[in-house]
Amino acid sequence: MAAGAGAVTAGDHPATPVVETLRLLAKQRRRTPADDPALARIGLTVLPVAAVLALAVVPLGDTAPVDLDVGVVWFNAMEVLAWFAVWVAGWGPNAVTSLAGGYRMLPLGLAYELPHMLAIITPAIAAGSLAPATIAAAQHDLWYAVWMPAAFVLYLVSVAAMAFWGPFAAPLGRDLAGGAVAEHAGLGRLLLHAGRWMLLTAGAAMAVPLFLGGGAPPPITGPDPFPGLPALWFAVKLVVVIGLLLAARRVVPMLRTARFVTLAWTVLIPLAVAQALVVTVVVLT
Amino acid sequence: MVLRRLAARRPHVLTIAPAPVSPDDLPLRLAVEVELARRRWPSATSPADTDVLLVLGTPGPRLAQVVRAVWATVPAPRVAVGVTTPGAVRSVLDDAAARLAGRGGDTTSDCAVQRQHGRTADTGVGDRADTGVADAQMADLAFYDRDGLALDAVHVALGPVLPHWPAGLVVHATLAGDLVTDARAEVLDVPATVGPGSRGRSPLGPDRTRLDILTRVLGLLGADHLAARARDLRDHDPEPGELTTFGRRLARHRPLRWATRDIALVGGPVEERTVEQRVLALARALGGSLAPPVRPTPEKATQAMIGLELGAARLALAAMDPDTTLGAGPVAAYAPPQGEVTHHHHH
Amino acid sequence: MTGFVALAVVAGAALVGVGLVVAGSWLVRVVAGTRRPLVAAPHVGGMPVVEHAVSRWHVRWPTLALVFLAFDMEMLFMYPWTLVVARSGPAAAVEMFVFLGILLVGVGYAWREGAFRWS
Repeated sequence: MAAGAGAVTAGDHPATPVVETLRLLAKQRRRTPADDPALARIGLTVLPVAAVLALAVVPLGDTAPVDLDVGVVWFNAMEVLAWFAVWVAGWGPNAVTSLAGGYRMLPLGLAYELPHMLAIITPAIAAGSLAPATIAAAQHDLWYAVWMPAAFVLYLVSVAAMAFWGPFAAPLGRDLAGGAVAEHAGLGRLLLHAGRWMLLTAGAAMAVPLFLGGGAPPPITGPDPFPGLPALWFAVKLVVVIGLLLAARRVVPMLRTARFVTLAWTVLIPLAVAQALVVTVVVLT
Repeated sequence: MVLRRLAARRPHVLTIAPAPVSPDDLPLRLAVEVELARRRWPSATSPADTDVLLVLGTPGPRLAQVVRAVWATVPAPRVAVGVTTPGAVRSVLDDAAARLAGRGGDTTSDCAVQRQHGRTADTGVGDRADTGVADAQMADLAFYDRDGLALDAVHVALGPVLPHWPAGLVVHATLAGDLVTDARAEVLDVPATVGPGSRGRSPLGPDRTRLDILTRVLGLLGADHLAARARDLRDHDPEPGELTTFGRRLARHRPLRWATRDIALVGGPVEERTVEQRVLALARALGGSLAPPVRPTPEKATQAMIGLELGAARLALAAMDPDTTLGAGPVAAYAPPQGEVTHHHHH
Repeated sequence: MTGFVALAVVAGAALVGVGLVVAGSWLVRVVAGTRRPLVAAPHVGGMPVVEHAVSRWHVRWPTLALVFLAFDMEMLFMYPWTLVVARSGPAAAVEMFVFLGILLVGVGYAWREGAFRWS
């Protein structure tokens, strides 16, 4: 919440998310003349719901809340709903800043989506499965993060981008006075920021089964020091992934969408295809 | 109420400052920024995000209108306060927090700004404020893209209450989507002056002026840790070594250079030709006892925004940091054509 | 199919969760006497707004969207392909990556034409 709230305050108090949530809960809602409140509400509701639905197929340990044999595809479909959600949340208020912010989400999506899809398909090729739990189980000898590092890095980049967060926060940019969220006060702002953090968490959580061996201990530790506690290993790995994302945010400032589009199409997509090719060749031999 | 007290622990503050024509204005702004940073109160990005409206100095008649208009769009619970001297900043903010927490009076109707400037519109909670946009018009077709399609132009007056925006500046812009196709500068309550003005003679001195500009550019980029460092160096007499170290760190910061790349500063508002070069030059000169950076007139800086995407234009403006004490305008606000809307056709 | 039924239940639960947040906020605002929303002019800096913002937006990335669509359609084939590539052997892999290669050549052409630069 603090990161999205704007302002030059580095190093926030641990209680800040709680204080911010209460503050937004109690704040009066706000509308603009000739707006489209239904459209904005649909967007603001879709975002957190899509994040929960994406998280539902992620194995939080050994098994996912909903074990789907095409879990990777479902996850992909839910995450794309964020494009729509941010776009219409920005469209609703009939304001220049929020409209411009909402529209920034679309080229951002066009840029990150293909590297993202290739990055989640690559572990699926190696495991021969689209079920996250099966992909995690296929890594008992070697984590995919180790032998397909490019796919892992591309996945982390795309997680930040799908949550329009950190370097990819242009749709909520400070240069647009908050962009898609500029005119939303209180509840609307809370749903958008909460949905964004949930999406970031869901993306980070999916990195654990796809690249970090799921609920199993690292292959190098030998016998599991905490047998029967896959959720614990999952949690430790999730914290590490989120830590990596937070560290990246400190290093990389917000990128203009046009610059990221060029980077994505000229560097990231060819890199992702090359990584998929390498993995396919290894799988076939 | 417990909830209200908790929420008031971290109020978001929207500051409105006049163009710093009076010698008291700049020290006041710096004092406010220091105190807000010390309290870790974030600055609000827009009125929807605002708990405390803080008016610096004494706004002229035009800015006072803006203050009233902005206040009418801040949702409750809210507090408006004014501060005129650096010494009073602490007590004013203490007072604002106390009132936001529900101690010491009604926060929605009794506020310093209203007492100071008077009120016209009824901004009672839940009431329809006098918004003026209810009878606003749909944007007229005015542009043709390269395929000959007519594209809508939106006329907006950007500023003066935007994050990391030059104090008092209003840019009367025409937007085609997120592209700035026309822009004219106006400084509220400061008409254009003739002559070179105070070019390069900022009361802050060369290095603090550079750090002030960098704080805003970095803040706009969301590079909060670097922005906070630049602001700390600006506000707490740093040793020369610290300045050069920070300057070198910025100049070597590849992601920062990458994020500021490809924005041309057309029309020669400053010596540097691009925003990237401008930021680099500001960083490299830190601690080097060089002449102060050139700060263009508002007109020249605004001209350089034309043709840029909105985000790039904001970065360019922050990097140029026009000297608003030179004044600009006044510019007649865009009046939408009344009655029949004419559509231009491309032949 | 049970998986999707379970997901429908999760969706319902998530909606209820959002509803609880909405209800909580409503309750707090009723107590505070700010139940009704403030209707306020959109903010572009404090000056009066004279035109509606929602009008035809100058989208400057239609070529990008088309290139994306071509690639995205291909990705749809890639999902089922991942399940059979190990069994089908090199032929399936060669076909897929020749297809991807052709698309990348197209991307290179679009890049040279300036489709990814628009500001």
